[in-house]
Amino acid sequence: MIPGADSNWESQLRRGVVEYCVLAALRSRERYGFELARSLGAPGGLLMGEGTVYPLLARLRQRRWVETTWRESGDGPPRRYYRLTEQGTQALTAFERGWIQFRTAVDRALEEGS
Amino acid sequence: MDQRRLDRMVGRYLGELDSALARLPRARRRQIREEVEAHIREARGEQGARDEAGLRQLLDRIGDPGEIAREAGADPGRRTWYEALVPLLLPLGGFLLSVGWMVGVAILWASPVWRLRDKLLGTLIFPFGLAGVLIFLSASLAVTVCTSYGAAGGPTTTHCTGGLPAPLGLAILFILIVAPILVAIHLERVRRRT
Repeated sequence: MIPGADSNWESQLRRGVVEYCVLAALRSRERYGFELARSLGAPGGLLMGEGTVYPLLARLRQRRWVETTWRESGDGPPRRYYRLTEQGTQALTAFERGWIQFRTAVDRALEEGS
Repeated sequence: MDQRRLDRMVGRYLGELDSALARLPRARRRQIREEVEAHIREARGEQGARDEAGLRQLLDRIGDPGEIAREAGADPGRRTWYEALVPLLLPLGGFLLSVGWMVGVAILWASPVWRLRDKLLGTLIFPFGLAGVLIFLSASLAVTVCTSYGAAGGPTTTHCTGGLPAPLGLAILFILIVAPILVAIHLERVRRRT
């Protein structure tokens, strides 16, 4: 047996969807990195550690799905806030539509097999 | 006092992150590092990780630097084979017509795995590696200066000075041989972290 093969599908799936979950966390309002890391990085969540949100954010920013602004924090150094762009919102909407279809298809396949 | 210990722990974590991210483009690497640094600052301020256990837990939650690098697309498992030669070529490459050493230095400077201070260390500590050390030692130990003096026609006295006094010479020999080996071990450890 290939080591780690049992959880391979899980990490592949997680890798594919986690970016959109970051986008979804930004839907209602802009947030700064630490805030996002805390809300998405809870144990049992989609991140393999809070710190992995930062490379994700960097990638989303490069794709221009999010943009950043520095804001004063009051009690410390300024914070970098992330906000969805128009392109980011479109990508998220498209993903949601696709995800629902995907989920339904998988559920149906599992039920038919049982 | 205790605070400094905690700062050192954070420094070590960030150092590991730097090595893990070494293969990324500079701008990307800087952004991720800045954000992780800010994260640690925020988290320490929030829950006041004042003892070692608290800080360790905080860093655990942030995650393994290798995992962050993997998410960033810098696969920490992917090393280039010729980088593995550097820790061997630097101390021993001098014996290969000294070209081996130069190849080692060239790879050392071209690779993103090592930081500037590692590169300087690897280059300056022992030019031409152990071969250089041997040449240097044989030169400095062999040169002996003899002067003869005495009345013309009479008996002459010959006085010779040179070489290094035995204990000092041995100490220098030891340092010169050990230093290159330690540097090679250090470079190998940095490489394996990446």
